Amino acid sequence: MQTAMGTHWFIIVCMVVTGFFAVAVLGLTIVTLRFRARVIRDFDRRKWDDC
Amino acid sequence: MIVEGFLLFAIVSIWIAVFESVVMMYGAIRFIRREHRNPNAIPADMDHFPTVTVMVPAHNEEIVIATTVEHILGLNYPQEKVQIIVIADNCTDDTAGRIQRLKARPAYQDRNLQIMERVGTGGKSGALNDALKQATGEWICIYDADAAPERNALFFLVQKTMEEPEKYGAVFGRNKARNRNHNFLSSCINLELVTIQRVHHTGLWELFKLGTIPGTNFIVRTALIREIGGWDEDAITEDTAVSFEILTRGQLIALAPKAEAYQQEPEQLSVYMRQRERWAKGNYRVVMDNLHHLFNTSSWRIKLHVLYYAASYFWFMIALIISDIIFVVNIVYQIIGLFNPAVVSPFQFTSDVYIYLVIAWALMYYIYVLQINLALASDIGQSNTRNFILSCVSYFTYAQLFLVISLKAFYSMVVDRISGRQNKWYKTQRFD
Repeated sequence: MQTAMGTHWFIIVCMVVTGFFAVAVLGLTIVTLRFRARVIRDFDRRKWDDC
Repeated sequence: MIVEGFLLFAIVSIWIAVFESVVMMYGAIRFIRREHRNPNAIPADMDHFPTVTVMVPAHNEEIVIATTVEHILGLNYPQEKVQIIVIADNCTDDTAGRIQRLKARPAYQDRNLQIMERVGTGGKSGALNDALKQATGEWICIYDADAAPERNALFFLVQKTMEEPEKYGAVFGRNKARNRNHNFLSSCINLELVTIQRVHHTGLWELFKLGTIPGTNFIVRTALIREIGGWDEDAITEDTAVSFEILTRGQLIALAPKAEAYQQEPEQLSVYMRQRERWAKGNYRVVMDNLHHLFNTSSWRIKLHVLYYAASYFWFMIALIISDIIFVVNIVYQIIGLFNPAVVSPFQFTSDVYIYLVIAWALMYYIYVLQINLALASDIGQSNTRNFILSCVSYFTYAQLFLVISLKAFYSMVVDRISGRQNKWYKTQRFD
């Protein structure tokens, strides 16, 4: 696989880095959505202490 | 080759920006989980709390000053331990008169409230330095003239100092936009404030014990600020300058998340642009004045602090400019190509690498939106459909203003340095 840069090593770096970020972002998305759901549920019950 | 160099720089810079955002979010989430386990406990007895001098610099603030000082007088803190100094700095309006009339009320006549009518130079820094000479408190607390601190704000700031009295030289709280729903601009400013404070500030503090004084709603040890020599009257952003001075002396600037104050944000674009250009210019100068820390024996914390600011104001801006140019030029050439297929974009890359630039840009946009929504979720009542849509739209509108602001501020700073032009203190316009 040739690129204009004359080597395919950069494509492999791109794949690894992109894969790492995709996993990290997926995990952060799940945590954010779960956190939001918990705040809305607890706020409705007036249990949440603002952090 | 040059074009490919730009592409490589753009991709790597965006990766670093995404990595920084992932790290900040991880730190923020860890912080939120830990703080949730800390219950609010406000003691009835605060006799052992230190004395505090609250200073409020005010230049032509007759519209807002009385409300701010009333909030300060109403703080939940032993009254005999609070000295309040309102500095009417070079005022041509009725700022001092409004405070005099407030002080004359029976409820406040016995309070330690001083009004200093000052004529002099140095802007906000000069006003604070003059008031510092009369300060008697063990801690100095600063509120801007438009600030409305919540009743327990000062308590939470001081309480934080008592966790590590030897290490914490300053403590800062959170500032909220009181006019956040006024228009599109103020709504976007609110999103930015919430994200910076609830993701970046918390992430930096949780992971690295790094903090920055925000200019209002913070306290600093009186002995420390006197040792530093007061506030830098040549600095446009005196808060950033003082932050570096505090870190250089081995002290930390801690975050007290429950200490909250409301402030007015600009509602007009012209006012906003002038304010932000001043901040950007001031921060450029502070970063450049402190770049030497990267190459000497300063602590890792200072080096990281310098890198964080340098990356935010220089590197990422350059990466954004390059990637925006590449995308816009390619879109334009795609449109031209519909009518004249012979025309070819100068940014023709082999498809694989270009795809990863697109993916990197998409990741950057996604995590921009995700950060905002994490911050909104942690500020009760703000995580709603309207703010979600705003977070998606703001990248293409509000966030792009930063490129204009950064370029203008950089150009202004260069002209100042070449021509020896003096910095002019610009006061943000207030309103009812």
